[in-house]
This record gives sequence, structure tokens and C-alpha cells, in this order.
Amino acid sequence: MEEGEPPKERIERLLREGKITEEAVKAAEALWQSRLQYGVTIPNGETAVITLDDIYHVIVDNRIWRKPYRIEAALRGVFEIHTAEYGRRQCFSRWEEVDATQVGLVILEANSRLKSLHLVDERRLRKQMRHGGLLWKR
Amino acid sequence: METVKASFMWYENILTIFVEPTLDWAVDPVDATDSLVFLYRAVDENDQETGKIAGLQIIGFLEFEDWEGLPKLPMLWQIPGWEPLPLVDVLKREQGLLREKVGKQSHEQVRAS
Repeated sequence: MEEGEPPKERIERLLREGKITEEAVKAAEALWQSRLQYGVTIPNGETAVITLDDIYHVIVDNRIWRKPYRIEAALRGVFEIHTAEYGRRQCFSRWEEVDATQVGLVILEANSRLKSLHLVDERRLRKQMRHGGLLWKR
Repeated sequence: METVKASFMWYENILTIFVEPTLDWAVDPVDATDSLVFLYRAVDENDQETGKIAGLQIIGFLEFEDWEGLPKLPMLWQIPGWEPLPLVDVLKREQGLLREKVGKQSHEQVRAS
């Protein structure tokens, strides 16, 4: 498809190709229904808005679909927010998991919609933190 | 130069281009641009980077203009039905198509109202 697959179609293709499991997709959908669909309050007091299509968009990354709790963890772990183009915000996050500290980057639209979520390593997070102006810091 | 098969994922002004068959990746924010661009570096089953590229994501793709800020990757990308192209060229073509489509949709919405 020249215009690009929408995320749900990509997920369905990944299912057919055996790259993601049906259990993982159902788990992400259930998580959205139980914990995310009404928004997640991030540490600056803002409520991040997440649609089910947003979930499909972020779970194409196996670091997310294998552990979908990371979506909420990344939002709640935001410790600094910088500006980005067109009113978007880049939110830098850190949270603890059983075996490691994870760091990530959450992109929010001006209207608080979740645009993207990426796990990165600490060095790359620090590199990206050189971009944008400081909006908020914990 | 290596040619890879590729596909697009398009969602609310975010374009992701993936190498196909899909690989697992580690995300590397592209430092050379102030736009939100993320390079997907392929990883193996031990989560170690292989040196290959798995894809790239651009947030705000319809407005994106910082082509010089994109990584210079020694590979050609082949979307089904297209000839193999360098990254900037395949993205510029896709941007043109999407801008036209979005422009057409906006026009139809205005007409419908």
C-alpha cells in the first residue's frame, strides 16, 4: 500500500507472519480497556490521552508488545519535558523494572495525545535531551 | 549498494518505513535534526545491534523538510511497485503522495460541509 499500512493492519500482518502473538495483541487491548482508555496522568499533572489505535501504533515494537505495561510505566516515569516542533512535547522517562532501570522517550501532541513511545538506552536519551527547550522538570 | 525490501506504516502524520521482513530493533534518536526522527537499528536475539537498519520513523512527516538531517545510509529501499531508491528519495516520493491525498481529503471535507 503506497500510502502505508495503518497500525492495525500492520499488526494483523505481523500476526499472519508469526512476528507477534495473538495473546500479546489481546493483552495490549485488555490493558488499554482496563487502565489506559481514560488517560494516564503524567508527573506534570497532565493527562495523556491514548486511543486503541495509538496502542496498535506503539505495540509494533516488540519491546512494547512483549511488556505492554511499559506504556503506562513510561508515562508515569516522565521526569523532564522538552519542546518539539508544532507544539509537540518530548517527554523523557525513567522507571524501574524487576531486573533493570528502563529509559524511554514519549512524544505527546499539543492536545496530550500519545504520538509515539520508544525505549532507548541512557546514552541515547541524554543525546536527545540536548534538543528542545525545557518545559518541565521533576 | 544493498537493496532492501521495505514497507510504510502511516498513522496520524507519523511515517515509519520498515525493512522487510521485519526485524527487531533498538531505537536511536537522530541527533542531526531538531525534528523528531528515530532510526531503528536491527538487533539480534541477544538484543545486540547487528549493524543493520530495521527502519526509520518521522513524526510530523507531512511538514518534514530537514532532509539533510537524515542519516546517510548505504542502502536502497524498495517499496512494492517502486524502483529501489535512497532513503531521502523514497521518503520524498511518499511525502508527495500523502500530501496530495491529505489535500484531497481536506478539500472533500470542505465540500461536504
